[in-house]
Amino acid sequence: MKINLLPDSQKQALKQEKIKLKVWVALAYLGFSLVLFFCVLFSLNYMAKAKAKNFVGQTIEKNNPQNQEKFKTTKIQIEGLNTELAFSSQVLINKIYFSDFLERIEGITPAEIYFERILLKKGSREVSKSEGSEEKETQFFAQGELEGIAKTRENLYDFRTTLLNQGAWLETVYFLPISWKLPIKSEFSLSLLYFLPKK
Amino acid sequence: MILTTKTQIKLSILLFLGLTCLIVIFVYRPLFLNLKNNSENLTKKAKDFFQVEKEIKSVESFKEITQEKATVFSFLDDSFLNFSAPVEFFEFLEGLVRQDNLLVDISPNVRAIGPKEGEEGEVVFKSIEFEVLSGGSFEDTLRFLKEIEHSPFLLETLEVSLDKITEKTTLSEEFSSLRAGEVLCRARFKVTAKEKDAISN
Repeated sequence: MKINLLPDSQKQALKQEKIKLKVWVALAYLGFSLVLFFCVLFSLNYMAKAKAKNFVGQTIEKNNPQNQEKFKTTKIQIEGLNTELAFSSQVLINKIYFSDFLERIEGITPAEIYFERILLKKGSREVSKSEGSEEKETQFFAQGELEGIAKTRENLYDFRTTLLNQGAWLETVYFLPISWKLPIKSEFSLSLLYFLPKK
Repeated sequence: MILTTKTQIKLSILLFLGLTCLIVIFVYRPLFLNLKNNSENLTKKAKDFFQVEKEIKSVESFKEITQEKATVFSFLDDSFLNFSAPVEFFEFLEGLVRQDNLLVDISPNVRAIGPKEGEEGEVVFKSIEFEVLSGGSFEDTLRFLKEIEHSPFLLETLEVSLDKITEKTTLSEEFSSLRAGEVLCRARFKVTAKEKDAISN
């Protein structure tokens, strides 16, 4: 244990001297930290600058005129292919196979009915994408006008029923009223819309 | 003037604070701003570099894909007629005529679609309309039509009319050998084409 025999005033002065020393040491630490922080920031700054310069050099090296020409050509090729693919896909999606219609109609036509003339034309209409939606899409179809002869009026009526029961691929099946006039050898005229069956 | 220890402490703290403020304003602030600019610049340059690297890789992978899928791309290219000389379509139809035993007459009718003049490298699609008149049995006509519609060419059928030949039907010279009961078919097709010569040049 230390025994301090100094008078009070000197004791006080000594105490203050000690505090002063402590404050100076603390300030020196802070000053040193400031310098250290400055060094850290400075080196970071230098590194960032050097790295950026390095990237610029490498970019210039890789982005030489030869490569640029390659990029340009490839870009044109890719864009061309994309356009072709998109166009082809659109054409194929909207394609109506008239031969499929003829095969289908041949398949459901009874022997008592034969056609004299078939006219098919490609058509389109705007429909809502879904029920209640305002968004429209174009629907493609084949508009058909068929003329022929049925053995009897009953045969023709049965044929009409068969057509009406075909489902989504046939729409607006309509026989001209004159088609029902004769009981035998009925000459008929029929119009309908053929849609590409959904796969 | 002798300063007391207390005053000395206060003065040194004040001096230190003042000096720190000056250092912060005149050294740290510009250094921070500079660092911020340099980091932004570094990010940008790095982005540019990686972009170029990515493009180089894309070019290489595109080359590989085009080599691997050469048949697919060639099929895609072949589905377009050569607008200047649509020889392949005529050859295709001639082949079908021989195979299906039909009487056929073809008349092409040119119509361009899409922009008339494309920019450099831009694909400009055009189309050629063909009117094909054929005569024969219904089965042969249907097969003929089906083969055209399912051909590798990018085509749309616009119109088909089938007329049954009767005793009263007047036929042109080419179709005079057709008999009653056979079918005369008139079909209109729109085949997509492009200027292949111009592209290859």
